[in-house]
Order: sequence, then C-alpha cells, then structure tokens
Amino acid sequence: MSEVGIVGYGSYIPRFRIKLESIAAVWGADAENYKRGLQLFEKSVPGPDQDTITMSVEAARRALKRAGITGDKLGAAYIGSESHPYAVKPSGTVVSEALGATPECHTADLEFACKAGTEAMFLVYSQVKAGVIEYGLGIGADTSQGAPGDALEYSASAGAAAYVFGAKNILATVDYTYAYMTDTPDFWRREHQYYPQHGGRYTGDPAYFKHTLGAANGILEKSGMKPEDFAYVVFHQPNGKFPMEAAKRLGFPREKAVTGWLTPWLGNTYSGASPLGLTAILDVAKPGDRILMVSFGSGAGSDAFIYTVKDRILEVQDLAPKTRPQLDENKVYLDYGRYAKFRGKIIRNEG
Amino acid sequence: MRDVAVIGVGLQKWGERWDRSLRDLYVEAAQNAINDAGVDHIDSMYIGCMSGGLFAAQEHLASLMADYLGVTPCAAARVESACASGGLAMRMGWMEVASGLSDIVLVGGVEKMTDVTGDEATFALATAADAEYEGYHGITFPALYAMMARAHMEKYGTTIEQLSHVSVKNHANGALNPDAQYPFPVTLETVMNSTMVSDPLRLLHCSPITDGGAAVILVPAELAKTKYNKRPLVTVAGSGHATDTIALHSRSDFTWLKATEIAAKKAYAMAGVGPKDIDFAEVHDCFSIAEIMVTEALGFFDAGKGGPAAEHGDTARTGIKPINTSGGLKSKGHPVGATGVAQIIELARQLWGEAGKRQLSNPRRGLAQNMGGSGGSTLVHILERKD
Amino acid sequence: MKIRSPRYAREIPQRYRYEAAKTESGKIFFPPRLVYPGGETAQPHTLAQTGQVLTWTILTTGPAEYSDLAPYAMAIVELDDGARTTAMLVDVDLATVKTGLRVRIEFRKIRSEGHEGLLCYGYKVVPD
Repeated sequence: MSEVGIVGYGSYIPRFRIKLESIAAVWGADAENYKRGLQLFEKSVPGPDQDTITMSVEAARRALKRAGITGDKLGAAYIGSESHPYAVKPSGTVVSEALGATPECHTADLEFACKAGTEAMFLVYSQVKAGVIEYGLGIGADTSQGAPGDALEYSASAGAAAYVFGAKNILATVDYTYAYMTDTPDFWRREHQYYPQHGGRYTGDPAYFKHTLGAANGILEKSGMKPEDFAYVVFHQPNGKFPMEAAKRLGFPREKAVTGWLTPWLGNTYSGASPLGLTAILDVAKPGDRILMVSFGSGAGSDAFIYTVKDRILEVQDLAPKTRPQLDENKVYLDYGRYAKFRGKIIRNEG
Repeated sequence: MRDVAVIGVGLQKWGERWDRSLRDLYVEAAQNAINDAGVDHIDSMYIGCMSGGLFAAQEHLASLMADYLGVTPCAAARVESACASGGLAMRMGWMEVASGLSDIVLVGGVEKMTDVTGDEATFALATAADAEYEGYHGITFPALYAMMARAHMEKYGTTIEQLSHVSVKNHANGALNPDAQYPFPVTLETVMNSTMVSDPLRLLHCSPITDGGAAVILVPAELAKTKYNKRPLVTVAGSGHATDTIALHSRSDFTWLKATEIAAKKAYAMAGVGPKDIDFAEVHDCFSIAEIMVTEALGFFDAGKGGPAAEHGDTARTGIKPINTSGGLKSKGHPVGATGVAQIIELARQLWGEAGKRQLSNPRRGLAQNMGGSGGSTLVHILERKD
Repeated sequence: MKIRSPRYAREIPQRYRYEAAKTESGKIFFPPRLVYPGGETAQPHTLAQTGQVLTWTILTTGPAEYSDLAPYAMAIVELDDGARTTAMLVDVDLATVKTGLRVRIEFRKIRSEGHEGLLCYGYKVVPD
C-alpha cells in the first residue's frame, strides 16, 4: 500500500475561560503556587449548550473543509472521549449523522482517559492503510470534569480536534506508529461516580513519563530517528510542566515543543490534548517538516506517531479557523459561580 | 343569512381564582349570561378554550360543560385558535344563528391558567407558536412580540414610551372595571421601570396569567325585537376571519399584522363600513406593541402611526378612537380562551349604555379584534346598535 | 412536556444538516413540506450557513429547559440564500446584538430532557 496520512484537520475551542486565580480564591488555595507548579494560567470552559458531540461536529466540519471532501465519503468515524454525553448511546452516530456520513459509515465511541483521541486516529489510519475504507475520521474531544477543590479542577478543560485520514491528497503522511500500554492505575473513574480519582504524585514518573518516554523511545528506535530529525514534537499535556519535562528528557530543544504546547492557556482537554497540539503545529508547518506526536492516557498507555508534512499543507491551512486564534482571541472570562453553573457542579432540583 | 343579536352577557371577576376550577369558570359565566338574557333554554353552545389539556388535564369540554351547566344533551363544541379561541367561538355561534340552524346559541370562552406552575403555563402558551422551528429553539411569546416590537421601532421610530402609554391607558380604563384582574392605574414611570422580560418588552408591557370565563347569548335579531327587547337592539354587522403563517420568520413583514388586515377588510365589507365608521374597539393587547400594530392593521391609523396616536391620547376613553375601554388584556386580564368573548361583552355593554364608569358617549358601532399566537389567526367582529 | 424519540429523530435532517426545499419559483421552505403553495413542486436544497440578523430580542427568562442560558438572545435570521429561520444567538456580547449582525450556523445542544431523557441537538447562530 502506498502512503497513508492526514488529509484534513480541524479544531474547536469554546470561547469561555476561567482564570486559575478565580478557582483558587474559592478553595482558599495559593494561586501563584498552582500557576508555578502546573505552568497553567487559565482554561477553556464549555457553555451549557456545548459538549463532546457539539465540539466534535464543528471540528469535523473544519477537517472536512481542509480535506476537500464531503461527509458521505467517510467510511468510518471514531470519537475518543472520557466525557461522552451519553453513557450508553454513541456520540459517533450524532456526529456521523450531522456530517452526512450515515448510513455507510462505521462508527464507534472510544475511551482510554486522555488517549482516546489518538486511539481514534490510530484505528482510522489502520483501516485506511488496510484498504478497508477510503477516508476515515478520528476525533479527540472532551469536556472533562475536575472535582471541586481538587488539583485537577485547575486544568480540566474543553476542546476538540478532528482528523480525516486517507491515501489521496495527503497533507502529512503517517510514517510510523507505535503503542506502549501497561496496566497502571494512576487515574480512573468508577461507574456512577461524577468525578475521577487520581494517584497524586503517582501520576508522574510511574504513569505519564514511563509511557510517554516508553512510546517515544520505542518509535524513535523503530524509525531509527533522533530529535534532530524533527521540526516539532507534541506530547500529551495535562499541565504545562509535564510535556516540557518529557521534551527535555528525550533531548528535544524547547523551541520544537513550544508550537504544540497549548495547555498553559487552554487547560487539559484530555482526549483533545495532543490532537489539538498537533493542529496548532499543522497550522504553521512547512512541507518537509517532520513531527513526533506522543499521547498519554491514564490506565495507562501512549500512542506515538511520526508524520512528515507534504506540499498540500500550504493549500489547506487557511481553509478553516486555526487553533491559536481560537485560543487567544474573543475570550469571555467567567467567575467561579457561572463556571460552576455551566459545569453542573451546583445541586439543583430534579426535573 | 339572518341578522344576529347579542341579548345577554356574563362573566366573573378575573384574576388568580384559586377558588374556581376550569368547569366552574365557564359554568358561572354561562349561567350569568343565560340569566342576563332571560332565555329559558339554549339550542347549542360553543366553548373557546386554548388548552384545557395542558392547563387542567381536561379535554372533551363539550361534554363536561354541557353536563355541569345542566343543559345535557345540548349540542356543544370546544373550538381552539390559541388566544383567538374566544373570537372563533363567537364566529361559530354567529354562523349557527345566522344560518338559521339554531335560534339561541351560547358563546362562551374559558381558561384556567393557575392550576399549573409558571413554567408549565409558559410552555402551554408557547404551543401557539411553531413547536419545532420556534419553540424548540428557545422562543417565548414575549420574545416573539419583542422581535416584532424591535422591527417596528427600527422601521417607524416607535418608542418604548409609546408602548408604555398603551399600558397606562389600559390600566386607567381597567381601574373603572370591577371585573378586571388589575383594577388600578399605573404611571408611565412604573411601566418604563418594570422588570425587563424580553428586550424591549418589560413586565408591564405584557398581559398577565389569568383565570376567567365569559359568555354571551346570541339570537336572531327578529327574535330579539319581539321577545328579548328590554335593551337596545345590538346586532353583529360584520364578521371576518383570516390566518397567517404559524412562524413569525415566515411573515413577509414583521411589522404588519396581515391576518388582522384581511379579517378586518372582510368584516368591514360585510358591514358595509370602513375604519372611520368604527366608534371604539376592543383589540388584542397581549403585549403593548400588539395594540399599536393592530390599530394600524385595522386602518385606524397609518402604518407606523399607531405609537404616536397612543402617545397623543387618540386611543384614550376621551380620544378620537377609544381602544380597550374594558382595560384590555393588560388590565382586565387574559384568560386565553375567554378573552375574545369578553371583548364582545364590552362592545355590547358600551352599545347598550351599560358600561358604568367606562361609558362612552352614545357609541353606535364597535369592533372586536382577537388574535392567536404571533398573529397566525385573527377574528374581527363589528357590532352595531340598531335603534 | 419532554421531547420523545420519534418527534426528535424525524427532524434530524433539518436540525443536523439543514435540509430544506426550493420550489420552481425559487422560494425556500425550511422544513420541506408535503404541500407547497400554488401547487408547485420543490427540489432538495441545503440552507446557506451564513446570514444576517433581521430582528432580535434578549430574553431575561426563557422556558425552563433553557433557563441556564438566560439571559440569551433570539434572532430571526435571513441566510445568504434568502431562507429565514429563528435561532438562539450565542457566543456574543449581548450589548453588541443588532439588526444586520452577520452570523453563521453552529451545531449546539438545544436542550436536555431532564437528567435521564434525550439530549436534543440542533442549530444556533454565532457572530461570523
């Protein structure tokens, strides 16, 4: 089979934001301490009329615009999230229906903490490569919750990134993939629980770094490449600190990691995190640029991809809204009360 | 077609009537009308009611009301046209007598709106709009009329003061109406400073939630002259009925009530008169902007001039074209299905000289305009004093 | 009254994909109908996704299912193909809402039927 890769990409970030100080003030926490420790200043907040499905539809429409195809050309659509709006009933079918991909579109919802987005990309890429479908859609989207007063409340945010994969009109080839999984209970949410649990400091070296570096080293060995061969690197980014630390440990200079580094202003979009980081890179990449992407999902595992950007990137970057402007412009700041109301954290009457 | 006369009327004090059920409100008004008319039986009756089902879990009002009025097995029919249900009941009753099918017809209307929560009442009222293409997207009735108000203000320069003058006038009239829900005056400042409901409409630009019933007795004019002649003869000179699109966004002009224009033209043609021949009118001021737009569509004022006319006092009881001497929906109240019938009652009382402190000086011809939803259906009736 | 599955699913082509109909004389009907005025027939037409505000209001209180969004703007929008419809206008500074504002359609959640019922999606408009 000839080359397979990304044919279109799109991102969606809601307009609402909350500053870390606004959260810290409510819980009597030291805002500066958190900002330094997490390297995070503010995060995106979904409106009451936004969820994983709505953001996925908009991100996917943008990806189709860049791909230059209509939704009926999609043979598969997978949505990875840990905040699917229904516990049982797929997000994927709403998205496929909205894109006009139904009925001949294999659809599935995926979850694997923050890795579900790259999982969707992985599966769709594999189907194209195997010749089962002509074009496929992989989306990472989340509106994840952090428990009130918990460390994760400072970072859990909302966003979506969508990728169309195909074997024609490629804007970035997938050169290598690699998966690194173990059973590591660093973060989970039991059925019927509203908020997740996490292992505190255990989420660092034994979880995030073990798998991120394991997948990165694995793909570098498989491909025979070194940091010097890459123009950009993007990691899963649960806070501003971890991805920069990962870059450092792997020998990537900071400049190569900065373009895909969104969390300090976006928060952790969970399944959308590294996929959104990749969209920010693709928005400015040049033909010939090589990109390393390594996601991480608690539980735990990492998916790694190596991409090479093609000439076609220059024709499509301007066809849909870019990621950095969505992050930096037209922001609406919320106070904690409105944020709590939007996120359903206030006990209401039933009905 | 025979000439039809109104010979008796009945209603009760309107408001939050915790002590009266849906059936009580209709039966009380109906019995008051029967007593007032002095008839010893009725041939059939009409019940205008927007939604017994959504407000009181009660349909089949035909059977229920005939039963509780004690007229079973009398023919009865519930008719619905959202807020124009009462006006529609009037037209149906008029048709039945005018055609010669019946001699004594009771036309009544009723709505029981306080047995449900405020949210449930708002929902029930919103079913007068397009459920899938307006209601689904978050519309309320204040919102629809607010959008019409905005369009009217932007096209003609109509002001919020002009809208507010309508409310002040209607309260001044309603203060003289013992059956009104809010029988007290309000000042312009109070209206202009009341809580915003849907920009630019404030609370005192909006008619209230009300429980109430209203009824009239119709007989052929010949029978009124011979047998029911204790009052001046008042007949239905004209009746007009028209529809418009269900959704506001489908109308060609948001500032013009086309169904009112068409129904009025039909009524004027039947009566052989024009707008200048109408001495006074009861119109559907569900929101202040509605009264302004209706007076234009009825031909009382040119398009865009309804606001200045209200501000100038032209529509006050002492003005050149008194509108809503009863207090209108704003002050009298708006039990949806009953409103259209209560308009006929006010016309009859004015023409008979029985309007108490609200009495106009020798009116000869009155017009009632009753509309449903955002103008999707409209009934217009013209009543004349014949002696 | 809760929206149940058949009533919701039937309108999906309109709510998700803006499927309308255009008659021979060029008038757009959204939604498509069984009967068109004057006995005309119509062909499928997808609505334009951008347009402008013709008239608007800002609701202080809305129906119960929309109350978390209050105050919110509602608008009658004329799309660039001439079709008109009613939609909530979101992601906007309410002080800037005006007749003539350029808008585009965005896919949003319209309402949730309580904690256990359907999630209902559809179109809203945002400033373009």
